[in-house]
Amino acid sequence: MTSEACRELRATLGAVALGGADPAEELALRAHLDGCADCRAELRELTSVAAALPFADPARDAGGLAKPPPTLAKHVVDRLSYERTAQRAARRARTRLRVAAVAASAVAIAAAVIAFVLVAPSGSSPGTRIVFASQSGASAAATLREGAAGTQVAFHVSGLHEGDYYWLWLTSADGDRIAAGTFRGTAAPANLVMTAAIPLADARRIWVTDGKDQVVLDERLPAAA
Amino acid sequence: MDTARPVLANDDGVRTVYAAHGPELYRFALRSLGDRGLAEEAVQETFVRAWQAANRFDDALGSLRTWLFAIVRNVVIDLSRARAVRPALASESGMNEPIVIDDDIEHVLIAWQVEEALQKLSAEHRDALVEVHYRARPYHEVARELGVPIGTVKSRVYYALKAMRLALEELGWSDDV
Repeated sequence: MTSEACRELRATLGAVALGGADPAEELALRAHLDGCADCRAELRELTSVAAALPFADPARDAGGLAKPPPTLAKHVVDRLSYERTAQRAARRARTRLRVAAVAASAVAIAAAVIAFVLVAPSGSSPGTRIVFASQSGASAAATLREGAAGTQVAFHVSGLHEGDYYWLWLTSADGDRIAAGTFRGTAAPANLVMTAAIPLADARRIWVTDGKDQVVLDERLPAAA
Repeated sequence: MDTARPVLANDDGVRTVYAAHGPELYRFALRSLGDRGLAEEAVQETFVRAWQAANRFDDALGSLRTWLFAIVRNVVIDLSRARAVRPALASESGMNEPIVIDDDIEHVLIAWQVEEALQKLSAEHRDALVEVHYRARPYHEVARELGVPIGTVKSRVYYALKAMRLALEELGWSDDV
């Protein structure tokens, strides 16, 4: 078949792919398809597009494509900049701890053993990542890393009551609540770094309470490997 | 250029990647989660995970966009799960359907891709496709309404499908889903 025939039948390809072609037209197209691999390939492509169409609701984006808030770009840049800083800080703290452990080993083997336990699981680990269940408009995520003085929590939170005080807590395997600190709430995204004085391997839960001791955010930590 | 590690390692790089892919990631998250605040959270979380896992990104295996979409899919599932745990509180805070769980996410992804692709068509092509396919109106009726020959409507539908195919492929859509 010539490409002239292909051009003439093209419009029918669309209608056949959508399943609403005139029977006589469809018959003519089918006859052409027998001898034309290009048109067969094209019909296959258009038919799979047609099959995807029913998933969509064309009225949904009637007003054009939704734009993200202009502040989001800055929030993403700030967030990564802060994550990089937190990671560097944790790495420096581990290095200090290692030096301390080596020095201690000459004097007291027991102390060195404890320090080693603290250092061992870290390596270049990206940390334990927690995404909190969203509650009452507050959403948060945290990265927990082994730090020199306990578990360093890089905490990212938004949607809190402006100006209220909040507590960040870890719960140990024994059920003790260990405070990582207090902070002032903001509705806009905020990045905080706090430390709770227990090893990461011993932490089981991470949670936030408001000034009235109501739990605002609460997640279980994955069991230590 | 299209690699994650060096690019996400500094602010300018993050800005560049966000400018190229951020709005799409946001729209997909918004479509999946139905909440602007959560969608913003999902985009931020996607960038953090991308940065953390940047050494696992291999541009020989696929584009940065494909990789970011694989991550945002997981983020959306995590955020939906987290929300599904506390339905009472979720509804209090004014968040509404849809809640996405794993099986649905592929469908939501296709729906979002198709809707995004529809927006990229010219108005003439989109209108033809919407009338004929979504409103199931006969070609001759649409032709009369628009005051053009029936062949023109058919040809617009054909070119609309062709353009949809291209737009969908650009959005990482694949036939075998």
